[in-house]
Amino acid sequence: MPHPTRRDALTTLGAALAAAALPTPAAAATPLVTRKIPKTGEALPAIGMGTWQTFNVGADPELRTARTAVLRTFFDLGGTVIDSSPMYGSAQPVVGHALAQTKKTPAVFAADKIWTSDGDETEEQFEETRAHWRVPHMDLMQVHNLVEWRAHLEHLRALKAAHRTRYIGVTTSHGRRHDLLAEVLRTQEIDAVQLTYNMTHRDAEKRLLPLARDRGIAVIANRPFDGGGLVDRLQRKGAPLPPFAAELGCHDWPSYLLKWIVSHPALTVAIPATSRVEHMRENMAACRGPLPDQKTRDRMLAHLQSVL
Amino acid sequence: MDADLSTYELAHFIPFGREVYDRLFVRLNEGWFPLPILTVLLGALAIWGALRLTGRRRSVTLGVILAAAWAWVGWAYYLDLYTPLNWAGEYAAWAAFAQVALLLGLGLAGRLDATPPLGLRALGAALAAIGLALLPLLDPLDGRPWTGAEFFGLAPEPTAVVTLGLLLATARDRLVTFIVPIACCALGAAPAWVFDTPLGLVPLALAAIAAVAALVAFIRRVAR
Repeated sequence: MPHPTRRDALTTLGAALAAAALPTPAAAATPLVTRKIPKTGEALPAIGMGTWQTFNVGADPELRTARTAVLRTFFDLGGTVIDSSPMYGSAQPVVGHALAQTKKTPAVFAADKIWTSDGDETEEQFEETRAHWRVPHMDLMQVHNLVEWRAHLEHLRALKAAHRTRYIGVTTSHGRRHDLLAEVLRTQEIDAVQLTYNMTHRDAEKRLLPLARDRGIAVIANRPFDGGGLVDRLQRKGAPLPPFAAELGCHDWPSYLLKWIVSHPALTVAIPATSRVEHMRENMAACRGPLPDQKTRDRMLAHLQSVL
Repeated sequence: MDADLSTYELAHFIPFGREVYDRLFVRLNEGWFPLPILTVLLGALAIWGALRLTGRRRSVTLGVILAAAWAWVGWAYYLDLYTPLNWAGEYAAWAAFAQVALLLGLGLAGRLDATPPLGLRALGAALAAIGLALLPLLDPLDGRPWTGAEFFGLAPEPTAVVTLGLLLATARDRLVTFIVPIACCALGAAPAWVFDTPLGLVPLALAAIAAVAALVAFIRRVAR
């Protein structure tokens, strides 16, 4: 058998890398799970990507390359919604760099936030954010943690009217300020709300999710793995998935936890964050195959509670 | 609102992961190599000066070396590398620059020429030596690459511990000069706590020892 030449080796390596970057045939054959933004009917893949901690890598070239690989995998597997914030250090410019490297800027649904206590800085921060992302306009701009929300929403409405962002909304996390959030949902004309909703933090179910549904507001679920801690706990315990998980196409805990979230009728997108390609694959697996009905969701929850 | 406060954890204030934090020090060392060798030699010179020199010569030597170390920490670490990851880094940089002014002022004014009791001088010299020679070993023992070891004059925590030790052994105005180094050790302890790397808490423990020793010396002096 002849020795492989350097060209042979490079060709093999290139083919292997290309194969690794593509979705598996079974996954690709199953349609992507999408949910509609109630106000417009625009369909979005039900699994997006958060950037808190994971994309805050500064100017580190090695880590920027690694995050670009994560982003490329996200797009290859059908993802579009990416969420960031000026609060997340260098996450915005790192996302912009990765988008430019992957040439996926036209495909992205760019969601970001206004995070400043000065109600007159909305437009200035919006422009900084847009420049970091390197996009012509933003898709969704949210008031981060309801900071100075009245003033920012007013300015965001003007930006939306000028077609500089397509949607506007507000965010909270960790279950904070739910009373105020309910008031905003009831009284303000917004397109989306972002809040914490996962299998161990279900406060939003009582009031906020029904309210958002009634008002035609898209819901983005942050901290789907409770900051990563939930998956860590389950994996440390070696907790088994229930047999019926396979029927939903869930072969690991991340896809199980995500499918439960995005199958809530009020939910639009869940935005897990990761810095690793293999975890991105696990997350995006939840965006294929059947979603559980309410009865199955209850069984999923009961099983999780029994193994935690 | 009270219920909201209970949802906050230290981890919510660390906007980066452990991999990124470890890489900060790798990039710091690689970006400035072979400067770490020079800064460690300067640190050794400062310890030697604290033990062997006297009077104004000692004060100026220590003031200039420590001020240079803090200037480098403020610029190369806090401003250049840390601030892009965490907005609080800018405030830390300004605190480091304030420490530069303080140390330079005290050094040139001859205020680093005190001769405290032997026990305090020995403790100060020991803390400085630990900051210079042992702290660089800690993080690699906790899983960080060896190229990410933290050195006096580049990384904040060894610089803080060496500074606290030398000030304990030589300064007349200890308490005011301790504020920034202790704050830097506390800032560095936060990611160590969140990332569950217990050896990263050692600099804060050493800073606490220096603070208690300085406080006891201050109380004794006032009581006399």
